[in-house]
Amino acid sequence: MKLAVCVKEVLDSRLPLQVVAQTGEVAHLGSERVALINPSDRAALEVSLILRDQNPGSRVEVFSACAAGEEDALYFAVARGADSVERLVQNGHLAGPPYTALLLANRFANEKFDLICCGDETLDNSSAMVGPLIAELLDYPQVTGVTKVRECSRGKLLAERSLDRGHRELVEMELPGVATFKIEAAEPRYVSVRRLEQARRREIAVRQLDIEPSKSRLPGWPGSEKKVPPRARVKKKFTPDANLPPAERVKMIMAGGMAPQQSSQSSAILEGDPDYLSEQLFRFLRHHEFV
Amino acid sequence: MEQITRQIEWNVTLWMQVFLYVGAFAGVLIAGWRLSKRYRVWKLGRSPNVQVSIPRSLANVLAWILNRGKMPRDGFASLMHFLILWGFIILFIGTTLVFLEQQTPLHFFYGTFYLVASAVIDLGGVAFLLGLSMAVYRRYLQKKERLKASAWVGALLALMIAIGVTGFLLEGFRISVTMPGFEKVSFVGYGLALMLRAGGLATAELTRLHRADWLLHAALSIAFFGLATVYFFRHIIVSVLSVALRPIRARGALRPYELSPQASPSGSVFDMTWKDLLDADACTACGRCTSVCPATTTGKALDPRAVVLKLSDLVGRHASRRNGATPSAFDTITERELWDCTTCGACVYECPVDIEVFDKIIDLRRQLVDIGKISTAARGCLEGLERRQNPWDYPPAQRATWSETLNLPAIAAGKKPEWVYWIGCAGAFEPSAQSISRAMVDILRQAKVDFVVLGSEERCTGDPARRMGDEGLFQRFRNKNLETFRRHGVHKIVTHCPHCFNTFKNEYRNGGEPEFEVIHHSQLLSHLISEGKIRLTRSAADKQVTFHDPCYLGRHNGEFAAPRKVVDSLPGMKRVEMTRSREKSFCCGGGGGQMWLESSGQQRVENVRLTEARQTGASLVATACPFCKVMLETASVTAGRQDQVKIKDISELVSETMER
Repeated sequence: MKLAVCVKEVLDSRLPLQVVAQTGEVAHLGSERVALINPSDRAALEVSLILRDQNPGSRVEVFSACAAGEEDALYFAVARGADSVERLVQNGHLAGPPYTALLLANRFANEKFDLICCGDETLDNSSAMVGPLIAELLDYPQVTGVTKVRECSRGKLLAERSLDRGHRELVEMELPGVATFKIEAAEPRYVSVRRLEQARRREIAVRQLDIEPSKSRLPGWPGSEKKVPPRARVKKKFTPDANLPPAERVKMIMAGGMAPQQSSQSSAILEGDPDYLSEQLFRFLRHHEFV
Repeated sequence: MEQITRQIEWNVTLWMQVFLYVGAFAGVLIAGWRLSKRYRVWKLGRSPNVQVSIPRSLANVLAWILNRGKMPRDGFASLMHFLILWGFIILFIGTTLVFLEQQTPLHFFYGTFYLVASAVIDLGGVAFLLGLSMAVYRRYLQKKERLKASAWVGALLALMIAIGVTGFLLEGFRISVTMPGFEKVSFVGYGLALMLRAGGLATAELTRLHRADWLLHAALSIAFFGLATVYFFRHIIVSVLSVALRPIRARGALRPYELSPQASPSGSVFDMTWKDLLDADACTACGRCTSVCPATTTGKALDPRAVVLKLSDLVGRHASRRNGATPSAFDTITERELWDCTTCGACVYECPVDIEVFDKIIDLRRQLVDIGKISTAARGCLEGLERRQNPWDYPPAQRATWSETLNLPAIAAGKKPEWVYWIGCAGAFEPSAQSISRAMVDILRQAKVDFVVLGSEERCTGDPARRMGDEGLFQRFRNKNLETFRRHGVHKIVTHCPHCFNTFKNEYRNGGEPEFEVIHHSQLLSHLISEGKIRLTRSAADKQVTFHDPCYLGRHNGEFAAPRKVVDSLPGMKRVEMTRSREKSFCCGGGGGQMWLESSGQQRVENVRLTEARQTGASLVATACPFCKVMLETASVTAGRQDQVKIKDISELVSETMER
């Protein structure tokens, strides 16, 4: 089986980063590095590596459409055991998820892969477009938001994808196809510093592709248009109704502000041993379709 | 007057002699062949890069044979071993003397020499049998828990006892026939002879019995030689090697991990060093390591002896296989076992044959880390260390936050203060350890010690990274820190953290000379007190205090006196010792990365230690390590005992009682 994984490096949000206002560059502030592989791409990589190990004779090839100096995700993939890595560059300066997808789809049009694995969405753009766009451009079937691969053999992928409210959907897809993975699809393995440093010594292959965006049916992307940040939510401070009796007010405060509505049991204070409590909690969540 | 000697090989025919020599030769050959098979497997291991010094090795072995090693710590076992070993050596020399007398032109077995030698050999025989009886008593009557009952051990003990008994009988039969008066010196043989005579056996019968017994004795001895390298008998030879090759490095230093950049370990047992494989074969299965291990004794999966024996078993399996697949250490050793180790070093301290027990565990952890198979908690901790340079995963920018109001003297170019006070990650981030840092600053200022701090230029020393198996991450920390020290010309460091102390002292040298001096705060405090720089006059509320030895200060670095001196200087306070203290101290459960990992098993190590501290009756537990403080405090809070017992660092106690 031939597996392709598309990865991207993102800024490590857990580092104390500072953006230099004048240049827009990110200052390191004493840390070794500022970027890491996008977490859901990491899960996609992990899933494909597991599939490779389950199916002898398989290969995992990793691709990233990025500029020079942004190869952290590719180095990580090498350290993690990818069979080959490649950086894709285009002529011209087209940026944004649609062009990334176009570039990747062009690459996959030349060489057939059984399964193309992407992360569900990235930490930075969070467009969740690249995977589905690749599938559309190649006319491949796709499954998004995969949380678990049940089986992948004999030209079929059987996977669980996440729906709202914790529901799961079991889907079967014909291969070749595109799958995008959620972070929880696989518990990523640790990559030791020794392996990472070894990987950094490796030269990364670069492939230049000539793409013509006008010839493809691409949706628009805001690009340099002005972005409207979402309005900050108004924080509501909870104050119990002064007309209620003190006991009710204490109950409300204890319930974290979830006021007991008349006639419906939307909040309750439970006491008892952990077994009882967890059962009650589960029933509550089930009842309200949280799980 | 009759000559004082005996006819060698009396009553022994030529074919009996042929049987003995051919048999003994075959026995030695079989033993050697078995050992060589294991030797060939050892050789498949990596090179351990040990410095072998022959005089040192000889001294190690000599001290060990003279029973000056670690044996005397268990009096009974020590005496037992002493008797068996020296009984065996004497009997072996006796037999060699007989052989020399008969087979070489040397003739010395006469007169006084004969009398003395006979008496000594009888004494050796008695010692041998006495020692073996003690062994039987220990294993089968006392049923010591840590000793595993096994059919093999029983059979081998029986064989040795039989050799001793038939030997004495042989002497008895011979003397009962010849009955020379001077043989009274062979007191056992003579006594037996008298009894045999009294039993009314005729000379002809005694002669026949002698011959039969001679053959039996010879056959048993041949069997002994043949079996000298199987099962735990192997230790007779292999333990000598493990003792001779005892590592020269400092006790607290973990050995470097020297995988070549190309190596890709997949848990092959041959990714261990040949010394590890040899060590495994040297194990006598005595179980001392297991009996002191904080993991085993609190019901966790790890049993250090089992790890060593499993390795030995893998060596054995490979030795008996023609050309099978390379065995993996992880076939039999589980990940859970490896992650239970606190690296307290009690196993290494206890092992009578100098097996590097926990070093093997850490090496196997390193293999797990390298193939990425580690728990989520361990992964989180290591990734946090890599990103934020502290194991608690706090933002590095917050490193100096604890001291914002203290106006600490920061290191700066051109300033050359005497001391750098190294805070460490615990002292900077962990709230209950920050009080140690504050107390230390207070004391240093009171004593007018010229010091600076590195502030946000500090980063982890790499101790947790190394002990959790990421050697590359440790090396990165070491290089970065050494670079900082060189840039600022740091030459003297004091730290309150024994883990930082141990790492700086033993692991930052990289084989060369130390680039700076490092001392633990207990040593500085004890010095300041004896110099009179600080005077402890204010009486504390507690009357009784017990001191908990941190593993990385005590057992790993041998510092027991300094913190005790500090505790003893506290006015109006009496020090009481716990059952297990000093070298035998029991871990707090926080070392080897356990501080950030999840504890398994029936009990938590820290709870066991707190209970032990409370049994002394002291209302205050003093310690000299931020990890120990945090662990024991956690234990006291979870047990709901925070009102009854206080956990404090010695610096906090000094700061509280110091005259201002």
